[in-house]
Amino acid sequence: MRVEVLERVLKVNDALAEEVRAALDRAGVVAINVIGSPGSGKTALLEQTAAVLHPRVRLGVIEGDIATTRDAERLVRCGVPAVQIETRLVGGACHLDASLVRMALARLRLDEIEVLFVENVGNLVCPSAYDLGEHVRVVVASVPEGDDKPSKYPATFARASAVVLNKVDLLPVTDFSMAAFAEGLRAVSPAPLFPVSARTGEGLGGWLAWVEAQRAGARRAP
Amino acid sequence: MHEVGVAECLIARAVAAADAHGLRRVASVGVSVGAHCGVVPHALAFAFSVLRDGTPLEGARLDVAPVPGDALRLEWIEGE
Repeated sequence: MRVEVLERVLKVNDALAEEVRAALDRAGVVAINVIGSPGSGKTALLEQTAAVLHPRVRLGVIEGDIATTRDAERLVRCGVPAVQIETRLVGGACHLDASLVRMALARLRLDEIEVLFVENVGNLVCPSAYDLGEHVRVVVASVPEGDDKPSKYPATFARASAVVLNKVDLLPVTDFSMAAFAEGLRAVSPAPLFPVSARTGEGLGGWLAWVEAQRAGARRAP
Repeated sequence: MHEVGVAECLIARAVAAADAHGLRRVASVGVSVGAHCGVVPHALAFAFSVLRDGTPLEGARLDVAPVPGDALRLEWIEGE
């Protein structure tokens, strides 16, 4: 006998993601899933974001890595509440999933957070398939990676609500073409592009304004 | 990608569906795998072939239907 099932294979993750999103909405927290290659500058971008915005905009961070607590420690040194998920402790996954984020949420005071960044494991492929319960996704690309990444990783870039192109201070020493990158991105996504250098501070203003706009758009429990 | 994790989820969903419909054994499973979902069909089939042992899906055939887009869906199960 054939039984029609018609379900997403990752249905359990989807259900947990909805629980996470509901908990965030009740607390009036907007969650941003930050995806990018290893070394693209996700953590550095969050450090710079915290330096300017926090605590006027109350930030929180969930850090995801296979190993080490280094990144959460960096954000804590910026004065931001941050917790670390080390996936090596739960099987070594190359991406975060909703169950891990749900556990991490329990370690944060959501009533003290307005914008929660969830920095995913460095990886341009796997995180794309896993809803973490976030409200929006940001992809952090960087100049040394080359200008063809949106074309090579369309599923990831297509789901971005914003794309940050980091390390623009290195443009003079690479063959990176901004026009090629922007064109490749436009072919898969209408998301705004923020060229920045987390190291020099160049271009951060546009990105910071976008982050504040996410807070303004967050639903708050009555 | 991480087809082992995906195969585990797939087997869990298939077992749940079998339980819900009173199937004691599952002989075949139909999955649609999107071209952009990041899962490689033959890697999924290999992981499935290892992980199905000891479950109601032992010996089950995995029927992978490639589809456009990024879907990853359990479409049907067959058994008795």
